Amino acid sequence: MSGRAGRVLRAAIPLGFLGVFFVWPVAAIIGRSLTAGALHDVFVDRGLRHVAWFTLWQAVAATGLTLAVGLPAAYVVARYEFPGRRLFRAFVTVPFVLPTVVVATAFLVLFRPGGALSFLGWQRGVAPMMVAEVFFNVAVVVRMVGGFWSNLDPHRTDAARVLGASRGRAFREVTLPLLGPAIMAAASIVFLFTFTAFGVVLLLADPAHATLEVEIYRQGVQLFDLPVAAALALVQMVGVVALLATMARMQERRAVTQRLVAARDAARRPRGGERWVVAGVLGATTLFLGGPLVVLAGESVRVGGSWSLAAYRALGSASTDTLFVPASDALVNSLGFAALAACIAVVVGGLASVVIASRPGRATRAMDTLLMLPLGTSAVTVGFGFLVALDRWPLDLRAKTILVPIAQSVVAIPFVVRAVVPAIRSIDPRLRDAAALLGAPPRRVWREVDLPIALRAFTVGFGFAIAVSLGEFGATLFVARPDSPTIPIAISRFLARPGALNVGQAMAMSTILMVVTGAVVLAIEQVRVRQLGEL
Amino acid sequence: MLAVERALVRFGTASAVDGVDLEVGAGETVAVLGPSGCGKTTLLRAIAGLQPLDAGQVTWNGDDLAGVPAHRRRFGLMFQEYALFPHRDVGGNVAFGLRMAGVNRTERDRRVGEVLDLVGLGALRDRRVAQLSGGEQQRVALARTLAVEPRLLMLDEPLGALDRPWRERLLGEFRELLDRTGLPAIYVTHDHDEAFALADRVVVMRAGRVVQAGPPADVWSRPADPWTAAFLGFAPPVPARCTAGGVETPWGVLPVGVSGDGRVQVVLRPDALRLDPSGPIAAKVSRCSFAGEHADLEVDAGGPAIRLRVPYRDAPDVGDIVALAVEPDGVLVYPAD
Repeated sequence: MSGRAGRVLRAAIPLGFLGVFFVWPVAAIIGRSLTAGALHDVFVDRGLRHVAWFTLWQAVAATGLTLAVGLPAAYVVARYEFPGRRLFRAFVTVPFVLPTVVVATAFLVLFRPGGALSFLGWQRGVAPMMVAEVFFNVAVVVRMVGGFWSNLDPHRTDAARVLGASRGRAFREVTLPLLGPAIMAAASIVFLFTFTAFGVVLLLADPAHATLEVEIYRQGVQLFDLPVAAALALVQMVGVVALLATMARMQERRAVTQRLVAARDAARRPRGGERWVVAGVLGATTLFLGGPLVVLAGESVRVGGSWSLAAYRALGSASTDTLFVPASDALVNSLGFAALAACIAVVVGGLASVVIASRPGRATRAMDTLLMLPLGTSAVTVGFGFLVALDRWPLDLRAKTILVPIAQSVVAIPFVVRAVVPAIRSIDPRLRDAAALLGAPPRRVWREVDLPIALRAFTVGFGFAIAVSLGEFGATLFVARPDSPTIPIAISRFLARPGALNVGQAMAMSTILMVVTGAVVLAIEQVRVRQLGEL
Repeated sequence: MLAVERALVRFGTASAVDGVDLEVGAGETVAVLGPSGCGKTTLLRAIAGLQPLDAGQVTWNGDDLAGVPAHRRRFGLMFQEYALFPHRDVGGNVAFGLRMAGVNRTERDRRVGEVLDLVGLGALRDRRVAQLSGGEQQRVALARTLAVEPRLLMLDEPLGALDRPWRERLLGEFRELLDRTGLPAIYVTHDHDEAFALADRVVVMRAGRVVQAGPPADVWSRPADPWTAAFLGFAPPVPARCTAGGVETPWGVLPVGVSGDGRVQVVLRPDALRLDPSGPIAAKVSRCSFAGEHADLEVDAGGPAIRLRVPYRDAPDVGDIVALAVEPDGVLVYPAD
């Protein structure tokens, strides 16, 4: 695959995939229910304008807070060697993949009267919602920025220090600009998540505060006003496209080819006062991210106010009228779907990344934006769109189980792209020239140079894709068949039923998902280290 | 062997390589000499097939290489700053080209060992490239290039980033290597000492064009123009006038056979003047600096300061009045601007 034909093919696969499994379903929903009147209502109605404004400012605020919490942890993980470093990196990722329902419930437990943080008086409102949003998204900052940071040559900061810059100045003038593309990428993803936040807003904010996504759900599912829901979905998408286009442009302009060094060379043991900084950052981050998880696990072994393993025992029993199948099936389903979805996402997203990274320009920027779009689209819309658009010739997939990993991969592709594109852009182009002169044809150059060097980024993308698929809820809810639920679906079914045992089972399953996710993420870290010890 | 004819490479409206002709014969080493930004690296990339030509052609034994991609040209290029693969160890870097050529493992191992021994790095085979010193990286890059037995060797500022002992040592090794292998080579540098020491022929480039080509001795003794002379480290030109007895300069009339009359420029080659008690030019020593077995003098003979190099034991003191004799061959006369 070289030359023009190869490029076209590499671009055609991701575009075709996204076209069939994203654009078409979403267009179908919007095309069938959008009316001019509804669009007019959305812009004139003060209440809906308020929703749009709230959506925007809470997303900006939450993104800022997430960076404030995540960057210190990213720094520590990237620059310092400490016992349990790999474990910490994996641990940070766990909150990100927990189903929103579970996290929201964990925070409700923390903030409710009698809960550990009840003194804050944040039972329901904007504050606990923000805290939950930050909790979710810290992983994005730590993984994306930390991954890039660990590859930055520390000698450049040394150079600035020698030229008379203080530590803070050197950071501001050298490290920060070089980290720019990675921070931008992470911030854009966090912004998208918080802009389209659903579960945490629905469950943690007071009813007076709703994001567009919640409003789409209310209008479409509770009030059955599909035209308004479609209009809102359109407004949300336009906002997201505008943002993504800006981000892609900035990222392209700021990508700097730079010398990457081995992560092991860059990281060192903290010295003197640094030990306190490292310990402080690790401690605070662990407490913030671990606290709710501990509460969650604690709840799973407390049924009706007393300690008991009843919830786990109930999960083990084969007969449950809530799930129709043994709970272990949900686990197997989740793992299988996630593996498949991540593979699809890595292939499709990887091809797209190669195209995007190799030829900067208007066309690839548009492609970048299109690939990021699923992040900013209502999961409700995507899932519903699958049912509406894919139920007839030429693509009748409605009853097929394959729809689940496909839907999940659509959501996961942006992660792969955001992880891989900066890595490929950072490869010194002379390495490719050197390989060519040593006799490597273009495709071989890609395999021998780009792939191994970007493998770390691919692995990070793959890990994220797995994690996203494991926790995906909104779209899966629509396309999963009743007899093949995933863990998040099972949890929501347990939560929807009354009774302490059902709540306990939900908590137990959440705990299992938490453990499984942690294990998957840790395994990927291991692979990464073994294969890339050299880099 | 290699012939480049009227090569043209444009970046936007600017021409990085502007109608360059270049030939490299069997076993010949050609140095391309010029300041940074003169287009020498672009020329190498064009020969390698990494940079398409906008006009002109590159041929090998008469065959046009336009349709031959870089990976099939079998030209070796050692990159400035080496471009070693960071994800492979020393052995992996050197074996790369052999793997591309489909050489089997046993043969590959043997050949890698051989080439690493050749550059004196046999013991570092399993080392990561990031752990190597600049000089070692340079040798790995050389070994990587040589392992595939290219039919042409191109070196882009190979000693640029190295400290002096390494430079001198490697310069000698290059010379020996090129003699021994008989590989035709193009050596790109901005350092005329390197170019003169190594090359059979020197091509001087300025702003994308070749300003002079010839054996090192010719280039040094007759630079094509004052710019080239200045680039070789000669003193700046001074305005002069042709007269019957030679050229009239601020230092007096220098006895050079010139025809015609009118305004010219004169550049003094470093060997144009020498200390000679019976010489016609009187000058006062204004500076004397120690340079090993030599001393570099700066003398005042009325016009711009004159520099000359003398054996250290003959060096006069600052303030002494010395007499200078003129070596007519070293007085370079160029048309006025």
